This record gives sequence, structure tokens and C-alpha cells, in this order.
Amino acid sequence: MIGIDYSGAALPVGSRASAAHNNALHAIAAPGAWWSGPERLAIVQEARSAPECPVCRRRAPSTFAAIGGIEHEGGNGLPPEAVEAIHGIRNDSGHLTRRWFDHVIAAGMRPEAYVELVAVVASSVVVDTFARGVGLGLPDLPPTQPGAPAPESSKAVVDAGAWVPIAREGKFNILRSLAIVPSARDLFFGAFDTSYYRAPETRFALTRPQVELVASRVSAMNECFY
Amino acid sequence: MVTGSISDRAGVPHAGLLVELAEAVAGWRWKEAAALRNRGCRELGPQATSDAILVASGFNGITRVADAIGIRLDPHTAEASVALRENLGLNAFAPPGKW
Repeated sequence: MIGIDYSGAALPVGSRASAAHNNALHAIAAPGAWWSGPERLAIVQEARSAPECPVCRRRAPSTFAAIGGIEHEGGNGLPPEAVEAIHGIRNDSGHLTRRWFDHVIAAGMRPEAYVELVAVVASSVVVDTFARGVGLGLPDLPPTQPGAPAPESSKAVVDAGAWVPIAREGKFNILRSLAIVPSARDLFFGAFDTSYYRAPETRFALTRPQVELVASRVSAMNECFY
Repeated sequence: MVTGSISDRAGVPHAGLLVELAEAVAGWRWKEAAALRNRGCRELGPQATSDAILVASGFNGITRVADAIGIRLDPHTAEASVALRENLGLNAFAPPGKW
């Protein structure tokens, strides 16, 4: 089966999570707004290999502020600035700085392409972490779907002090964060939503304090300020 | 409680196990995660263990979105988390030069 078959997992997996994760993988294989299907799958492959990157292991977090000239191994055919972005997001997101982001953009990546890359990396982290967590291997990636990217750059955004413009409307900045590329926003939150109380029908076999404890611990472990 | 040592006396049932499981899963420490998964099945039950892994997986992704987009703390989240952020030292997670 292409995608994820959770029937072999060591634990029960709900149909909503299974569908969400499979949908995310298939969506990644299709052309996005700024990256093609093959490029988006290459982003996932690079995110999967990033934890083993010897360059990332050698450099201290503080050096993320000065990345000029650093080249990671591999790359899966992606431009160097994309590889740097993927490794930074995958390996040390808690130490990313505005200067690091500016460097990535100055190297040639459009902010909208960066936002889509963030969504692809983060979605793959959600799916891969869960698959491995319930005792399976990394999911097989679907075949790429042909076609060119269909550029998106929403005008319903505003400068709210983030590195990129975020949605003009909204209560929580995290939910506004990917709005400049609506398909990227839909990709990520499609993968994420079953992991938290984003839908009224969400039920966990844990109490709310237990869910919040797990969420908070992962946030702290990743040194996430937000 | 969340950034320091964990005790089930903190008031959340199975807090210690949940934190260990969350850390192993989010840190991709699979051997440790497998042992904690088995322990979770015995102490929490299979579905609750699966749900804990689902939550940990989701937050392993969404924290990366928050940090990679450089979003600021919004008033709603800030208001709701003043004491939590102070008690847990979360404010220290904004590195110098973040913005």
C-alpha cells in the first residue's frame, strides 16, 4: 500500500488520524503553490535524513545566526538555501532567528516558498513521528503527481511582527501563521488537526490535563517560545 | 512541572509516564519509545497510549511551524499563559535575535 497502513501498528489508530495522515502524504506528492510534487517529496526526504547530518551535529545552536558558507551533506537535488531551511527547521527550530530567516530569503527563496517548505517539513514530522511512535517504519511516500506549481500569495495577510505576513484575521497567531499560502496552511492543519482539539468531534482517551501535559512537554522539549 | 522533574503527585494521573513517552517520541528515541509504549499499554491502556503519541506527534510539528514563521505571542495566548510561562521558564525559549 502506498502511504500508511496503520493496521499493523502496535496500538489502535483512529480512522480520522489515519485518513488525515494519508491525505497529507498524498497532498505533499502533488504540485503545491511554489514547489512541484517531486520537489515536495525531496523536502520530505531531506527532512528525514536531516537528523543524521554531521554538519548540524557539529555546529552549536548559536551558529545558526551565521550560516554563510555552511553546506550540508545530501540535499536531494534541492537548492542550498532550501536544504539549510529544512535542516534548521527539522533539527533546531527553537534556535532559529530572524537573521537566519533573512539569510535564507537573501539566498534566493521567496517568502511564500519558504512558508510552503515549512508546512511540508512540519507535516512530514507529524506523520513520521506518529508512524514511528506506534511501532511502524517511516511511511512509503506516494508517487509524485505531475504538474507545475500554481503560485499563491494571499492578500488577506498583515505584518504582525512575524518573519512573514500572517492572516489579517484570527485569534491565535499559530492559526494565522501559514495564511500567505492557503494550500500550505490547509496541508499542515489537515495533518495536525486530529492531534488536538481543533474539531468539535475530537475525543481522546486521555483527560484534558493529560493532553495539555503531553503538548506542553513537547513544546518545552523543542524550546518553542510560542 | 513541564520543564522540570515530573511526579505523578503533580495532580495529573500518570504524569511521569506521559512525559517520558512524549519526550521519547518527539525526540525520535524509538527503542525507549517502544518500552514506554508497552508500559503505557499496561498502565494507561492501548488507546490512551496511542492518543498520547498522536498529541506528541502533532506538537512535534506545530512547534516547528511557530518557530520557523517567527510568530509573536498573541494576546489571547499570552494572557492565558502568564503564570505558566513564568513558572516553567518558557520565556527563556525566545533566543536573542529571534525577531
